[in-house]
Amino acid sequence: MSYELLSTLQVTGVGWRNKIHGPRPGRCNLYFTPEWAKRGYEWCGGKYFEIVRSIIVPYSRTAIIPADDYIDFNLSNVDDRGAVKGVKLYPEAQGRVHEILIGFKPGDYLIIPGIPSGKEFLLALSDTTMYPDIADADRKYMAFQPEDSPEEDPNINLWAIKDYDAWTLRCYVLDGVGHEKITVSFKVVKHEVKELVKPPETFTEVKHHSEIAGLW
Amino acid sequence: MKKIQNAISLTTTGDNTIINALPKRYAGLLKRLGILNGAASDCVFRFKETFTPDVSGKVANPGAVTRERYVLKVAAGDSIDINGEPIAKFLHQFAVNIDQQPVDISYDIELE
Repeated sequence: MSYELLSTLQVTGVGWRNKIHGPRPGRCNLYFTPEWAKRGYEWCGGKYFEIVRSIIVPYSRTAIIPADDYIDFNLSNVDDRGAVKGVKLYPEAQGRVHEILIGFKPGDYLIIPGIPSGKEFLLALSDTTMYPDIADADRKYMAFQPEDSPEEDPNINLWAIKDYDAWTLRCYVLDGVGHEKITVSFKVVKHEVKELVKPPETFTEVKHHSEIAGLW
Repeated sequence: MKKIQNAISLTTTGDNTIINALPKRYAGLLKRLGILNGAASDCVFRFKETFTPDVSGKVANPGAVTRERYVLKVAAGDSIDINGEPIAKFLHQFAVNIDQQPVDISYDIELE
């Protein structure tokens, strides 16, 4: 009986654990595209790395806010300031890479991931005017809903290195729902990596946000 | 699924009795509600919660807010058991105001 229970728990956990990287024998090799070097991250841009040590750190943040209002979760290492909540998920040293899985608890809200300072959003279209904007009656819906990346099976996976641009999750509570509780659940996988001299046979390509933002 | 189940007997009217404070990282769906009105008069149950919202993009200094989530009138000496569809959603706490006593309340709250 205890064996069956243990098996069930393990199967439940496979969902998100299957999506992350880790030391051998897991998916252990990373390749940072040359774009990283062009953006000032020469230590990793265009290079291959092997993950030698990992640890998963679960963390979550929550906020209750009114309808037709928003809050920003800034994933970089900044303090809370007004409507910006500093989540501080980034590494503080080179040779460390954080893989961040992001899921949400249910609720009547939308989530817009991006780097707003450069108007670079994950969910954008090719026309330069087609990026999410909560002040726009239509374009605010260019967003994730909580069920798109549920807490127990998150589908948003971001990478962070030391001093990387600040990923921001702008969470917007839909109009007409009174107040809503927004809960963002993170699985932060801290990786220690070492550079590989020769390219490995298999690897995961880690792209700079400018390569995955909507304007391509 | 995480669930809070409990029962409480109340003998004080007029106040806003906090029956359960929800864990910070959860909202709560009231999924079952049982009520016994042991008073000699009809009793109005007002389930409500009070919370202070976080600073948001439009509200720099939010004050405390009270939200009524569910109101139910139960006849003197009557009992009611509601079970099935979600009854109400709570963000912060599960509290009730009654105008008669004594009453018994039992409930299931599903944390989400």
